Amino acid sequence: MIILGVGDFGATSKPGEAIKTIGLGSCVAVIMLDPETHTVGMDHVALPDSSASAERARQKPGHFADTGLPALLEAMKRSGWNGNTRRLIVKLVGGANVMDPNGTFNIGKRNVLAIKKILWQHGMGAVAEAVGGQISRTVTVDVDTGRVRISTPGREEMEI
Amino acid sequence: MVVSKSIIESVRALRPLSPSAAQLLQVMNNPNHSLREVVQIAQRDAVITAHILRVANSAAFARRSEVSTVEKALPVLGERTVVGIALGICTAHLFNAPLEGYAGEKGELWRHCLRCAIAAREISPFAAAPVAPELAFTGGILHDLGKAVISSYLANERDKIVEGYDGGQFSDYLSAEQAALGTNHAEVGGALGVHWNLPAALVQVMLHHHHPHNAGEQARALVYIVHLGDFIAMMGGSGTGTDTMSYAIDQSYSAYVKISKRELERVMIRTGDEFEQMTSATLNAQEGSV
Ligand SMILES: [Fe+2]
Ligand SMILES: [Fe+2]
Repeated sequence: MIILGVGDFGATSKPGEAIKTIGLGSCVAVIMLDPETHTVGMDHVALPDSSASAERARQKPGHFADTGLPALLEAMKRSGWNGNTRRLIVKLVGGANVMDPNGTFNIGKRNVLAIKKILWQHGMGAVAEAVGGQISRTVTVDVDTGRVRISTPGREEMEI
Repeated sequence: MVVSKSIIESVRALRPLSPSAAQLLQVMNNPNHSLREVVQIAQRDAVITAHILRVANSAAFARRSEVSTVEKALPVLGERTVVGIALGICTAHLFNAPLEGYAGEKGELWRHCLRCAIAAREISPFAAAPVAPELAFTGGILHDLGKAVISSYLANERDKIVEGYDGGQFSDYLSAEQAALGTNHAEVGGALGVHWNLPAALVQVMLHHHHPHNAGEQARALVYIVHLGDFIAMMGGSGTGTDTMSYAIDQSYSAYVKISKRELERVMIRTGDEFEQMTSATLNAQEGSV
């Protein structure tokens, strides 16, 4: 099991392997699957835009939506994906939101929007998502089955 | 309600704060205190001294030469860590209890409170009126201790509460607790703060951190800071279980804390960094102390 911390990203096509990220609050897990090569990848995005900290973006490109998605695509290629974006399935999990009338603390929502914009720029879109709301989420994606499972404390597990 | 009465009564049966932890809190509450005072209190307490030295010599803070005195350790760790360690030792039995009532794991309450404390300290420079960063940190450490007390009472009600909350019956998790038990973790925390004779401002934090506008005027800015620190902790991935993110932000926070989107993002980055650096060290101190 590969466990991603905040700002980490990774991809794998190793049979039996899985990628997991624990306790997403306003962070968003961007999950990519290539059904043909059974390559799966994930980026634990914390903030929408790398202009918040160029230094952090250098150390951990996965931290931001704008630097994280290209990095994840590269990791997908290294693990077997052939670079054809039409083949990729994208799913989004997390981004629980704080309803802030000033629009400052609504980072969950801004993360999701920033990710969707960048996906769109790459000619991609998410086919499934479990985002927003006011709960925390833990997510796992399996290489063998491609299943994306989501758990929240005290709730039943769900799949997208 | 009968249940709420017995919960509040159970607070009075909890062991009091150690004298050194209480003294450290009093000293930190005074903005003009000196580092010497902190050193003196810590030095007089063998358990605190041992933990401070262990943390100072742990990997996260490692220096070339061994730190052998509290006096040398303090500049390495910073005051807030020392007070955090002192508090952590005498509250370890509370922080280390698994939070059944919230489906939380052992250690989650401590991590949530520590992350809130760091965030509150990082937020304090943005307060409209000055608030001592160290006080904000201490407030963050203590804010949710009511959960440790109320958790076992919530355990049987948990599924019902979650269902009701998810079904939109309650405006936030606090009201869900209130409906189930006739009290909530903030009220119980406030009672604990009184039982411990904490400075009034810290009792206000424990009591009002979800509705800071209800705090007394003197402590209100501090309570708002911890309120925002609580959100930053949950947003960053450190909650306590079923209730994570399930609270509302107090809409008038911007009158007390002036922070831009960009500044908040940087606060979140710094908070995450320091949290990661501190967790290994202070968690060890926690575990070693029971
Ligand atoms: Fe709370
Ligand atoms: Fe909290």
